[in-house]
Amino acid sequence: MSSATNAHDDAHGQAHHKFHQHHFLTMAQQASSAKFGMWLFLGQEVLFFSGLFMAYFVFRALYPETWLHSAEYLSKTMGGINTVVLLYSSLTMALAVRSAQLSDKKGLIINLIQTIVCAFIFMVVKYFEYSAKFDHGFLPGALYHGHEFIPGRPELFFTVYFTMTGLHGIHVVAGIGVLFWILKRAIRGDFDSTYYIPVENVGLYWHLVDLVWIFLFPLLYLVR
Amino acid sequence: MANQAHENHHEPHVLPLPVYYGIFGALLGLTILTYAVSFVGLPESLALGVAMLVASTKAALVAGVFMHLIWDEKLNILVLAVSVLAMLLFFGVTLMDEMSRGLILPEEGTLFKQNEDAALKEAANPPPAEPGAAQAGGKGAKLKAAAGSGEGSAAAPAAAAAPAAGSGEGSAAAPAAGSGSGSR
Repeated sequence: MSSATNAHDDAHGQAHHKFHQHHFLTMAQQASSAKFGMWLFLGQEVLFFSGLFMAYFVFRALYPETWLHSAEYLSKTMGGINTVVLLYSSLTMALAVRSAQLSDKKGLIINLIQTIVCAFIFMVVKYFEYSAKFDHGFLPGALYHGHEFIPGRPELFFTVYFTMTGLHGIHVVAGIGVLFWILKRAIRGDFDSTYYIPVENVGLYWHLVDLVWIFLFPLLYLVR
Repeated sequence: MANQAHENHHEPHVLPLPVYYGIFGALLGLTILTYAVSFVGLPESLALGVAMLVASTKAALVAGVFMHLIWDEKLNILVLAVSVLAMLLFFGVTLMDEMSRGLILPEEGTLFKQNEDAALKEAANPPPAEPGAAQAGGKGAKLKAAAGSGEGSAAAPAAAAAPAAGSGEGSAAAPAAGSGSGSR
């Protein structure tokens, strides 16, 4: 509590933490409130994505043949690479939080940079995957003009594919944004073992993005 | 204020490094497993079941260890549990509706498809001409048999058999009830 402690005292005459907001009694209360808020947001994210997963299951139940054949045109290897990239980024994110807990500034910065690099790799792979879909005319809804024959309603599969992976991709991009914010603060030296809740909350968000992908990968790429 | 000062110096719960690497290794292993299983060519429903089981295990590892939920305040676990429960309710009720739609004839209101199938069968094979009194009994028996033969494909055989038997008692009763319930 040395570097991050401000010189000014609060009403109780106690040394006051630089990032201690006055409407919280203690730093611990502040941290647990922030984390609870983050979990409420993540609970909302689960419900938000569940609507899309529901659409997936309903359309799959209605057009099982379409699902079997459409998934053939997704690259299991590309999806697999992106899965490993996201899992590794989850590891580095968890290690970033651990570094912050141990007041290890250098470790925190290195792990955050690795996480950001993984997020960019994920988006680059996604770009190549989307390009291939566009070239084949595998577009959502009315835009669909696939040349290969797929039985049933392939435009529904690709609507679900683009909506789910697209919204997940937007979450990855938002993740890159908040990771840069945390990186900037880490370089400024804001975080140590007494105050690291922003790192932890961004980490929770990043792990949720990983969790969604853990279900998207087998459902979209590994149908058969 | 001693207690407050203690809380201010709250020590973070730090996990040893091998835990992180171990979990990452397990996640990689499960990814390779689910990738490999997809080439085996299991029946579709079994493949989906295995894939979801593996994905749920991976999700539990990430949520439990990487998201620190195992050692976290119980309140945060409750938030996740409630949203997952809400999601499963949403899935369950919607799928129940979705799966049972094929069983119902929209033009007849709430009439089950099995009734219609039985009626069609009856129309295709009219019962042999008999005196009127005996005919009603024969009809009922035939419809019961028709409902019985459909049991293999029906989602809820018991529920399907009951309305079929009911309509057998008087072939005009069921449609009359259907139109009476306000569908047209």
